[in-house]
Amino acid sequence: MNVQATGTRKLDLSPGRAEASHIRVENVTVAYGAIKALSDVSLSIPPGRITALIGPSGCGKTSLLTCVNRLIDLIPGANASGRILVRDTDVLARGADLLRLRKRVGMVFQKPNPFPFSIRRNFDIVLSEFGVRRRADRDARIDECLRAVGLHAEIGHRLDMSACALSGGQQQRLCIARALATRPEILLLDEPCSALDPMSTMTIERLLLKLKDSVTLVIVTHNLSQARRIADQCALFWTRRGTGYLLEHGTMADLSERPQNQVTDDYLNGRLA
Amino acid sequence: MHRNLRPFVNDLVVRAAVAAVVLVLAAIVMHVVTRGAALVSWDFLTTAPRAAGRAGGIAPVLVSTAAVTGVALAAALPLAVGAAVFLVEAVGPHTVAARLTRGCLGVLAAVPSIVFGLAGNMIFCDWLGFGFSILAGGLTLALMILPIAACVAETTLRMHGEDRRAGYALGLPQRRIVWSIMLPAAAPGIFAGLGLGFGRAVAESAALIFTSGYVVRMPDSVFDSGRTLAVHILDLAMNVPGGDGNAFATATVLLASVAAVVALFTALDGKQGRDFV
Repeated sequence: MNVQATGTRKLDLSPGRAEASHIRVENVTVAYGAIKALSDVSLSIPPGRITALIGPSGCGKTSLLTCVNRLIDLIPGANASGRILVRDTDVLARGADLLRLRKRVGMVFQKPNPFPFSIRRNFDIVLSEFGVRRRADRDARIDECLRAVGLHAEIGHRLDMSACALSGGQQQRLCIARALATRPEILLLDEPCSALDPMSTMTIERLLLKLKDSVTLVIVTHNLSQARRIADQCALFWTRRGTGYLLEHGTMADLSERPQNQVTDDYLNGRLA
Repeated sequence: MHRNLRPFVNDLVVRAAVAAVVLVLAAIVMHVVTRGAALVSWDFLTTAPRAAGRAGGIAPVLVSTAAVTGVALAAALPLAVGAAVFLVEAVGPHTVAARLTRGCLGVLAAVPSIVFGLAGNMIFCDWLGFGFSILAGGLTLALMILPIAACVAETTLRMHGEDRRAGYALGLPQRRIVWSIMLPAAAPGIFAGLGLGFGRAVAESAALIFTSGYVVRMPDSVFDSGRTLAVHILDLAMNVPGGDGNAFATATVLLASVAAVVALFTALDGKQGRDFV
């Protein structure tokens, strides 16, 4: 593609206007073996908001997302450098407590992935690991999570059916509910609606808007209208010679109406694929 | 070839291949069953052989077969699952340890059964002092079915990579992911692998002659020698003049038991398929 970025909007962290950041990404670079996927990204993600990571495929959005909960460690040969501060803990530091981190930072994937067991067992595995031992306490927590995602009326009375028998949209909401079972402070969502029909997508979007009061949400999406509908903040990633980088960052209105780059303007207005 | 003929010829080739497979199986089954089925009766299944197997039934042979395959499956299951979990969880897919493990399993799969028999005789009968016994035979068979059982278990566990990732994303520790998620989710596939192993174990004769022996008496324990169905058929067909009839009857029982076990494991596997629709 024959476009050149003209610069990255610097984050406004000046006192007064700036909010405390919940996640602070500082000079993060990700490589898979010898291939650099993401280069030198710095970004601040405020608490209690929805931040959308957008951009074409292969520009490192998901790589950045999986750095925040260190799920990237599961990929052999993957290496992330720089710092990511969640509150004040550097999650990329050697010796970071990954189990504790992932309990605080939940994740929802592109394809709904409930465990192939009953709905109840999907929660029980998580809850019993985190010390909710009494049946009554567990049931109360399952109730709470299902209510939070609006599934309680639909499936609250048939918790013993297989989670795989639910519809795609219900499965995805179940996965969100399961992620909420650990009471996370951050929820990472990797294209959570890309496998869903428009009605289920709308349900999930409403749900995310409701959840953001209690949880910081970071969502990767290819759907620009979705980003416009739900995101408070937006980070546009682009690629240069196969390596992703952060092109521009701000509110959706900033990016749409006052883009700092021609590429941003073109991408957000559908002139670039 | 004329363009319009091509689909027709392709279709014909595929149908012919299917017909060949079905016909070969049908020919074997017909050959055995037509000569053996008439001799199979409740008495045949529940009495001991007489006159070197020409007369009487196969009761001790059935018991020994169940015991040998039982020992084999019980010993192979933890080894196969352990190897598969090691390959999926403990080491990267392309590390030296993974390649070494897979290489060993590959070599083990290619070893002829007679060599397993000799090795089993040396290791289990002599070194470990089990003598000719059901235990020695079962352990030898466990090594034989280990490669296929481990390979199927590994493949099934890898099919559940999404569940594994979901488990890690929830902050669950590895032991919980393996014991509470991966193994229960993969269990039907793991048992299907064992089912394939059972097919090989129950049909084995060469490896067992040197390990579990061919004493036809009812075994008292796994330390007794015992003769399996396949060994009984071999003996009747090769060493006992006039033993053909009971050889075919025994073969009919063997085929029926393999079919039953395969059907059972296929049903388990089918259940897994439904779960993932």
